[in-house]
Amino acid sequence: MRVAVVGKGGSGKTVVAALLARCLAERGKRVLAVDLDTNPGLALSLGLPVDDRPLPDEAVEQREGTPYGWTLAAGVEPAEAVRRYSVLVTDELRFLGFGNIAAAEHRVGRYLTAVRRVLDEFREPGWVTVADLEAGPATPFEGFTRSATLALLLAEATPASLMAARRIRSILDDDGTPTAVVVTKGRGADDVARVAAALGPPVGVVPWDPKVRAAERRGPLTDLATESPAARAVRDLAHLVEREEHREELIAG
Amino acid sequence: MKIVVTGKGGAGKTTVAAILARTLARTEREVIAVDADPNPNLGMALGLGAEATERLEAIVNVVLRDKAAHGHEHDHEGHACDPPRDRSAPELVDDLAVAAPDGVRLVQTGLIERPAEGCLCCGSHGTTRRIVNEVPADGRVVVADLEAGVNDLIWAYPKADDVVVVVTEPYVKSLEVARRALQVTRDVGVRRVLVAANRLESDEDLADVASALPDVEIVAVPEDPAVWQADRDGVAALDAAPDSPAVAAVAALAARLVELEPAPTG
Repeated sequence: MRVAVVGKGGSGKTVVAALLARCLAERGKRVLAVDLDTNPGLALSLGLPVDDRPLPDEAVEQREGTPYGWTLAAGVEPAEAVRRYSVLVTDELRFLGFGNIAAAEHRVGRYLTAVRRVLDEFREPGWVTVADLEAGPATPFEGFTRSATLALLLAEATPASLMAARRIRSILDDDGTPTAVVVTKGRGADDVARVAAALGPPVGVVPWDPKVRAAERRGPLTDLATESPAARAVRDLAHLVEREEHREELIAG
Repeated sequence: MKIVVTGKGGAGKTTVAAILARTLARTEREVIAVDADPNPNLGMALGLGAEATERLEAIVNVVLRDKAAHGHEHDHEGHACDPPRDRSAPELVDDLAVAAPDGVRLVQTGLIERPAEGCLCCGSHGTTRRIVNEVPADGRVVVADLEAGVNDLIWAYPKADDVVVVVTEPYVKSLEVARRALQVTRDVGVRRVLVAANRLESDEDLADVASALPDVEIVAVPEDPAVWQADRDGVAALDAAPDSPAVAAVAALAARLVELEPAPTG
């Protein structure tokens, strides 16, 4: 099961990805949380310290015909890359990112493609991948959602957020990526109706939650009360992911 | 004067860029607003309305239309990818800009959605750099609203004489992106850099921003329900709530940028 979290900048992708990863792990899944944003925040939200370091040089190599000309080094298969280079958050939850852009000469593409290969090819049974994508339609356009078995498309009930979501949706639909719409920062039935009118019926509503805002001030969401409205809503999304996973397993026989 | 607006997704870049552009246009300057986000919505913040904003054509989409083989190799490093140059940057602005309120002319560099025309995979960043670097600043103002994050700032590659406005919220993740953006401005030698500390609710918020981002001038922009409401309605905050505290704070930022402008030489 591979979940991609997409939406406009500020729509709450990282918060949802972090809470979802934590929730699935607490429910006994093994979870790989992947940050595909060149300005990563997922590690912070998961409670890890900020780390500018990219993947080590030994993890990547130049190869013609690959995106950006770089990929995982020969002999480092995606499952091995996860074992070697992901960070243990809890026993069930691992985090993989590719370091932060910290300076003008940072070569994002070199490491991004390696992480993309993990995303596309990591298929260990019993694992759920939760990928937090960059804001907007650019990374879905470049194919970063193509291997997802479920895209969670986040949208606030503002025209700008809905416009972004429609653009992203056009790419997901074109790729045939199964998509579930989630209302974020929802403040009532009117918000849900606005999102539904623009994007179709949502599968979930993550309500506006001052507790998230307070936690975001400090960074980690690890202390967010499990009964806070946003955490409860993400728990419902985790159930949805589990049902989808079960369905996938049935189809796969 | 060229002003590049950068920051984390959702920090308020577009709102700040729109108010800056229109406020400066009201000082009798020629203003070109550049929407450099491949998910463009600056038009809405400028007051063009949602429909007109969605109808806008992006430069890279126009120059690449019907040019599946448009004469450049894709090395996926991006550097060889440069849209055709049969028109200069000022000509592209003249041909494709639309009129926004207060006489602002708006162009957008790229738009990503399907079905796609030509090749967009690399065009928007390169086009942004062209427009930002090659439209002469003499006597006019160029305000570029970049894509979320530091990557697009590196692509835009502002020059020493340009102005960079880093928009941040008083949250750890937003301040991280701002810190990196400031590092990039130092790397490329930009002399005039200001931080717009957005959605501040208290003096403590401002103190958090100041301690995370030392050695840079910070302009405080308060949390303002009027801006939230304008966003929700898809209208310009400057029209819906011209006297609101946040609009006034960004107008003060515009005045500060004018103050910082070097006196014309010769």
